[in-house]
Amino acid sequence: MKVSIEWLRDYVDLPPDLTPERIMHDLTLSTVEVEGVEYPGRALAGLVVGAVTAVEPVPGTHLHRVMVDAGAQGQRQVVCGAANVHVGMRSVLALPGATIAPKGAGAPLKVDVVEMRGLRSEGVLCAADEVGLEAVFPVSGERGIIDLVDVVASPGDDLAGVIGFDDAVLEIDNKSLTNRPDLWGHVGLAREFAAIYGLVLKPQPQSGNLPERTDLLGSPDAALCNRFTATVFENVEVTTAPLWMRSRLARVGQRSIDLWVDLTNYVMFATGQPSHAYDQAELSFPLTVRSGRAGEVLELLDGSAPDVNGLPCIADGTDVLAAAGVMGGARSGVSDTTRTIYLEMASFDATLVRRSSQRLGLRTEASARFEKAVDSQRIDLGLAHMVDLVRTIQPQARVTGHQDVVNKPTQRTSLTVDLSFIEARLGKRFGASAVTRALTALGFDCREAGDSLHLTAPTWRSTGDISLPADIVEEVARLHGYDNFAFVPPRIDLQRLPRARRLPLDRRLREQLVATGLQEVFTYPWTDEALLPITMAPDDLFELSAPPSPAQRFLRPELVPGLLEVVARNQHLEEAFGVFEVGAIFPGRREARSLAAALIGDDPQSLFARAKGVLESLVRNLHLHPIQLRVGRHGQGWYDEHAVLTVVAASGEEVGLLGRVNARARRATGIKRGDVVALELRVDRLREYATRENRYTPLPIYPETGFDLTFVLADSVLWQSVYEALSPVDPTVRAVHWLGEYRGKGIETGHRALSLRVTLGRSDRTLTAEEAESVRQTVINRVRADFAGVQR
Amino acid sequence: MSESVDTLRERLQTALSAATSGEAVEQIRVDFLGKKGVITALLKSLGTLDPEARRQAGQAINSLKVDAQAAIDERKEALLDAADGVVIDVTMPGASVAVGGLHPITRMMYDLDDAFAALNFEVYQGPEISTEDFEFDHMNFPPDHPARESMDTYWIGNASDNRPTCLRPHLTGGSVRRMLQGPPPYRFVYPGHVYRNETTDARHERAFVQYEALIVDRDVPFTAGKLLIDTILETVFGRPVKTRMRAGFFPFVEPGYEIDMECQVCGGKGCSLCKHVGWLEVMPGGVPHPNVLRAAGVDPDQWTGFYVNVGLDRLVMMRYGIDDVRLFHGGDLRFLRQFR
Repeated sequence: MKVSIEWLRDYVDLPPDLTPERIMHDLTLSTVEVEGVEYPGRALAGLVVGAVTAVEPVPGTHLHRVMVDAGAQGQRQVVCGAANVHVGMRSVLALPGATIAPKGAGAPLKVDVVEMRGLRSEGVLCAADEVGLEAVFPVSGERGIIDLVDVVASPGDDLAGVIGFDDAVLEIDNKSLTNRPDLWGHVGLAREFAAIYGLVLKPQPQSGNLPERTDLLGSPDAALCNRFTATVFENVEVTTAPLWMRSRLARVGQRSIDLWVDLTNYVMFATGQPSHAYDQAELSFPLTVRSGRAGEVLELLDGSAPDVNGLPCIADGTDVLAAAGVMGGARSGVSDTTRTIYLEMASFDATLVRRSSQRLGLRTEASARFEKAVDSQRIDLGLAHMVDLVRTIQPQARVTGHQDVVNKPTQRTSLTVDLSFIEARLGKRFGASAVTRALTALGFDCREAGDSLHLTAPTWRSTGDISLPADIVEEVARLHGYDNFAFVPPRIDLQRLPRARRLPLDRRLREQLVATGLQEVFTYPWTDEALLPITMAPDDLFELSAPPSPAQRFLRPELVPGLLEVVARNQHLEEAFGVFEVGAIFPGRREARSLAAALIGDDPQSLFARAKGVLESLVRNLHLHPIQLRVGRHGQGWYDEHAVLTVVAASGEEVGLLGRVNARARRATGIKRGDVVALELRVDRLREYATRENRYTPLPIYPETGFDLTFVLADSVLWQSVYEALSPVDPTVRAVHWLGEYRGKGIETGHRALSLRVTLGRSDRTLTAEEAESVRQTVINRVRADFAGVQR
Repeated sequence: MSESVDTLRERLQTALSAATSGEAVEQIRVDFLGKKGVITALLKSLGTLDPEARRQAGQAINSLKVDAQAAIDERKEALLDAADGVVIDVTMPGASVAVGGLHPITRMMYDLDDAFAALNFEVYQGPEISTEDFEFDHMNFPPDHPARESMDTYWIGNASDNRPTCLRPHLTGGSVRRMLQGPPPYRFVYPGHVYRNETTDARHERAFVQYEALIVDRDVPFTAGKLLIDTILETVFGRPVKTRMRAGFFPFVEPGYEIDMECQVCGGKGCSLCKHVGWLEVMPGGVPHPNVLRAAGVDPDQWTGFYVNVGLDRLVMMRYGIDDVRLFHGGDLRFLRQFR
């Protein structure tokens, strides 16, 4: 919302030394965010009032040689093509150095002294759109240079000053105004400034007694309309609004249309109260407010005709005239022939206006105000401004009728607040008089009774904004100025926090995964439909009502597919890397926490081993309850059914999967080369020990010994079975280690050469060479017997 | 004497210089200092001299013997050292070390967790799937507030919960969940992903990360909120950052504040980043609204507090000078690896 400082001065005497930048700062800190200050006059530099003293046609062209009196800037000869140039007119002369935007020139142009048809042209007489003033000087009919008919000015005067553009305009962030419907007009902001700076608000106009009529209004629906007033102005003319009004409207961003539209807009920007002017001749009395009926449409000026069934409407005896509080229909306007105005000034239900505006897809200045809840008493202020303006601008016009239906007047909010409460919350002693002084300035009625303050809010703060003691704390604090409070450290009792233990599991998992060389990534919680496991029925998945895209309407049931997409995205840059994510998943329409990692490289065996190492390092380093890896065929989903493990907790609950990503999954996610091994764990199913659970194992006192062996074994013989067979083969076996495997030349297909190391030891003495050799033979025999393994 | 001490000394030097292996040096030792070595022989010959000459010659030969042993040892060491020689181009680039990395937002989150842990704040983690009562009702959004109707929130069409269900659009709703777990006082931080249905561009994302801190106690003047704000900003920027609080409106706080920090680019003088005001809006905050405390089962007449809620994406962007928020969820390792 734009706010003109010049306009504000109509309502409050701001000190002359108060700069717009200072106002911007103070209003931002105390009330609403001011995003910037504009100086509309700056764009008009070099433009002056020029009086045309002579016009001669330039033979053989449509041009004129024009003599312009520019006062102190001298007599200037200008070559001008405008058809409306004539002796005695005053127009806008752009002097050399000024910047204008001539039609068809594209970029703005710097005015210079030029030769045209052999004639010197020492400036440009400007049309409104060449100097960005179409809003002030609306172009009607044939385009021409600006004719300053109603301007009091002398030749050579700066245009900006003459038309009131030597102003500063505040740009206020509308979002920060949503809770302050009272500030949606200059009067409201003037009131706020008066409170901030301790100034006195100037008296507002009064409408006086208006002649009452009873036939103007029916019974506006109380559910839709809080108050409705109709006022008839007879003997009016529909002309152009005076320059000062057009100028103010233009500065706050509103284009001038005609006097009556401009008047309603002006009163709205002044008081925050929207209104609408109808041509009485077009209406059949009485008007009322009712819900739109089935089949009813509202014809709009742009030719569209939206359905208004169920929306709050203003209607006369014949038809719907307007969507209440949003926009008037095509039949609701005024024209050149209008002689009697029927002015609607009303107050509508905020929620219904918002819904109506949403459904119609029409956001207007009126709906923006009504949907924030305007107090019903605002109409008195708006009407007084309107009557006062009409009296001044069209003295011949008369108010001949007025009707006021009040359904739900805004009640002033009353509340009691203890001074001690305010002071405790703000950590500062103010005293009752300072508090009441601040609140009185904001329009509150205050009565002190001991520590208590009995307060009554003004109507303009009573539509929802003020309702609690905390609201009063805020009013006192912001008027005192947040910057003026000293820091008061909070005083707290030191006590044990309910969960002040070690770092959360999420964090420890992430940090351990980083230590294993993986990079953390974030992916989105919604997943592409094509990446859902075949086993997932839509019933098992959360579905977004309005998804980012139709294919992404499901929330992910697992993390791995998203990681595979990340792998694919980075594959052109690197051949071997690993990524992980810890985040929310939603399988079976339940939220769970998951951890997933994906490793890409050339060699599936070593990738698998590394992934398994990552998993084991988590259990070991994070002090998790033990897990088991069950060789399992997980036939569906992302994993190669011949290379997948199910992670099982001690309780038997499945905790996750670790496996080679199958070719179909690699294709689906766009992975073009290499092998990928992935793992996913349900973090919410991992159990941590309450504290560190490592147990001390005494160091061996006597030297250990051992031996390495290599066996040729069928692929069907798994390491785990060998390990489990050899570990208990003799009481002196301390450990059985995997050394490596070999497939290829010299080894029969379907077999491998498996190398292992057996470590031996005793706690009471050193093993003899004979004892070691005896165990070695036992191992060889055992492998031969159990696995048909041949020593190599 | 067949050879003088000086000649022997010279001969030893020559022989050692010519020796290129440990074996050759050992042979020299035997030749000079062995039982049949020349120096040993010289010592044996002393007996033939008269006492005065014997004393002088004995000193000279003993000195030669000590020096000879030292020279032989040194030559052995030098030969062993030389055997250890390799060729390295010391200007070659360092080999990359395969370490992983946290996402820069996670990194920031943990830095903040640590800072707040020093103030004895716990870390709370709430669900990402939430319901209208927690996200809006408890947060004091009026029943007809536009935020509920708007398309900003990702509503879930097929939730089994009979309450309207959504991906949480902000963190604040979760604070009530934490408060409902037990009586006040509370001091906790609350980091997490939130989701909004927005059109994405360099400054807007559909998924982003917020960080919230809440303190609730019997006596918390609103200026105490500065402690939370300063803790966050000092952690991010590594130095004290000037801040200011100004009026702001959010349904769940009363009074509510917008918190600005001095623009770190221009130092408050005004530049294009801060739109020439010298301040950047960095986070909202305020005193929990009485209705929020009531929803959490906390008596607002007895307890008060302070909330701050900051967008971690934006802080991380400021910390590293990142200009596109979409990079955070883009999974591009060239980007993510810059923040170790």
